[in-house]
Amino acid sequence: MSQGGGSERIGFLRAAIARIEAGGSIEKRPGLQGPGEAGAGAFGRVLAGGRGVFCEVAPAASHDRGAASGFALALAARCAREAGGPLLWVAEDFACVEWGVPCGPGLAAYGLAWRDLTLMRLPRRADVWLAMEEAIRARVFAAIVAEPAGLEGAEAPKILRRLAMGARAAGARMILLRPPAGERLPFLAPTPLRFEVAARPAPRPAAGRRPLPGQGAWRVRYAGPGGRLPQFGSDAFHEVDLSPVDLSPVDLSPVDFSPADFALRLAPAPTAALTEDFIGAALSLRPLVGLSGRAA
Amino acid sequence: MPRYLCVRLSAFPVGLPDSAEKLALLAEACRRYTPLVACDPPDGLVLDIAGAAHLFGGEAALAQLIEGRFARLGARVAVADSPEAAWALAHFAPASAARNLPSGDAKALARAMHPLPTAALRLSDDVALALSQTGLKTIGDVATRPRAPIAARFGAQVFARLDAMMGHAKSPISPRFEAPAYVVERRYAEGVRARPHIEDILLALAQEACGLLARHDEGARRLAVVLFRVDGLTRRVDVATSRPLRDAPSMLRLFRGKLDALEESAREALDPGYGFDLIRLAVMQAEPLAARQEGLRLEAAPQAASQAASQAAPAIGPAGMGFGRDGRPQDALADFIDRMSARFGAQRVLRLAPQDSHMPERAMIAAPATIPPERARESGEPAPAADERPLRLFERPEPIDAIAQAPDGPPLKFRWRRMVHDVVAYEGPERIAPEWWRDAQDRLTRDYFRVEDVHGRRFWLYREGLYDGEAAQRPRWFVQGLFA
Repeated sequence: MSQGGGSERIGFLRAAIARIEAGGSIEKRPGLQGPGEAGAGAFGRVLAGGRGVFCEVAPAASHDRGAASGFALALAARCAREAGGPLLWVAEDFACVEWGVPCGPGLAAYGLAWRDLTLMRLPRRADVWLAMEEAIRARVFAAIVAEPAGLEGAEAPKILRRLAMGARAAGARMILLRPPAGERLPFLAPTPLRFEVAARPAPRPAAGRRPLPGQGAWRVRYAGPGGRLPQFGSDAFHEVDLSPVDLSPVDLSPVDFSPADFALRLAPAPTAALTEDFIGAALSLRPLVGLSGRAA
Repeated sequence: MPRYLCVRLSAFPVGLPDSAEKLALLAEACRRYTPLVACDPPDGLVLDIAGAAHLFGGEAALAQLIEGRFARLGARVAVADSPEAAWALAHFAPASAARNLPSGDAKALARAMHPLPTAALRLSDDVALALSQTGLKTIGDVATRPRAPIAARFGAQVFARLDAMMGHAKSPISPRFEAPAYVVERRYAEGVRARPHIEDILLALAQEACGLLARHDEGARRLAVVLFRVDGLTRRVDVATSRPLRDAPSMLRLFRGKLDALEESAREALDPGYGFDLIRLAVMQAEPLAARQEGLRLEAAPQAASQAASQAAPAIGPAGMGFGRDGRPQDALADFIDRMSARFGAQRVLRLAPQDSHMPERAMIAAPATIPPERARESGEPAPAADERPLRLFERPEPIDAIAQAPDGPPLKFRWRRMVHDVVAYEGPERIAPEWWRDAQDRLTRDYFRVEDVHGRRFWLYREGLYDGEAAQRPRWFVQGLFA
């Protein structure tokens, strides 16, 4: 029952999450199970602006950091719209030097105004954890995005578990933007939501037309708590393509078109295609409140 | 009398501060007596004790107290109606003479000043020598003679100094420290060392300061706590707020964060030594704050002040949103910003602010969040479209190796951070000229391209310099941002 391509994709991802949880294709370690609702239910709650969720977003490769940042920001923007309130971006200094700082005009692509964002640049990783904990306790932010430069050290799992439980207890929405997951640096937090994000090429136009860079788009994979991600392509059933529009909570009059031509319709859109106004006028994506029950 | 020679003995001049730094330390220590302290290099301090002497039992008692405190330095303290007179007494009065002159007694002042040498007028060396050679050896010699001939021969500064000394002309001092709007303090016979005790004192001081602020319908924007150690050293803790603040527990939370940060810093640790015998809270800057209904808050139940102060998290409103101490959600955000700014520094908690510039790295800066947004300058130019600017912008553009189909064409391939990216789609160029009124003359024109590589990664590249001879070298390529 699609209301638009975005809903199809989100529904697909939710179904994939539910299958992983039910099928056990990902090794589960109950001892590390994160607090609170996991998987599809938690994802639905994030999209609906639900509280007490800790997401872990990792780029598939080092150079996918831009895509992962966009996905994390899109999730945060979704929370901001649903729940209302400002956003907090806590970054370690080295991460800002390495990957840049959020650019004010670029935030508008996610429906965010520069006034909505509070940015903290901290010199040490311990300061990042402290700021996150304080932000959780402040209970004022619609979402908190944290970006440490790395997660080395034996204490990282404990800290992330503490933060996840803190977010759960305080009803905060926290998104951890972390370095790429790998064999040497597995996913660490006992979080119910883990995403590995890669950039997705824009659809190519018909022959004879000059290709233009597409709008923000991602290939997103989901992993269950404590699980290890398989290699790309080896287990494609829990992989889905998304764009910022898919995560938009706009709910206006339905426009009927299939997921297949969704990207084609999006690609030649005017430059303001991803702004809030255009989304409201041209695309219709129902809020995903209540989808958790259906997917489960 | 026998005399001995000790070859292993090294002699150092002691007693006087030998540098401006030490003098500044002494000035800091003297802030316990009055906030208006001025350095008088190379070896003096001037304290304006008007209105403060009675707190120490009067001027004579205060002078005795200060002299006793700095006795090891050989300090000589004098009290007079003018800084010049006090300086002259401290430097030239004989040991047997009284150095504490009664206030407003012009005759006593004249009696004390007239026997002093003319050097006490702090004249230049040649003028002082000339006065001495003409037989004018004391201030009395100068003061009791006709002014016109002396002024004509030795200059007007002689009587200008004399008038300032006698209180006939104003001679303001330049205090080393900013005068606070409000000051409250606590003194203790024995030093306070324990951190919980210090925090209790700070809370009491904050409540007292809030009372003063409420009386004038004001709130604090900058606060300072000065802790005076028994041994004379001082520690100062400054905090700023993003809005006028008149809530004692919130003030304490700000200072608590700062004290935590100090304790973690080995270099700037809050070392109480033998304890702090004076703790002072100063409101350095206050702004109008409308009166509010105190006590009408959304907390579940009223609590004792100390318990409220110990609560790190604000109260929770009905919808789960955080509320500040005054029960408003916007106050909760301001509370958080203030607390984090106090903990990590104002430069660490930032808010994006547009600037009047079309250079991407200057168009939007991250300014301290404690600065009110309305003070940020809005750019007069139309903002670029959202998808024309990247999500992340590098602080310093990174040089890349790029291959283009034509010299001034878009890139076909580029290498960034040891990885080669094949460009499959591009958009551009968007030409941005340097701001000649601001940049150095060697800044070059930039041609920006939005490119997508074969994996779908999107970058913001630019070529610096044009092929029309704008630069002596070949244009270079940079990557400045990442798109999602």
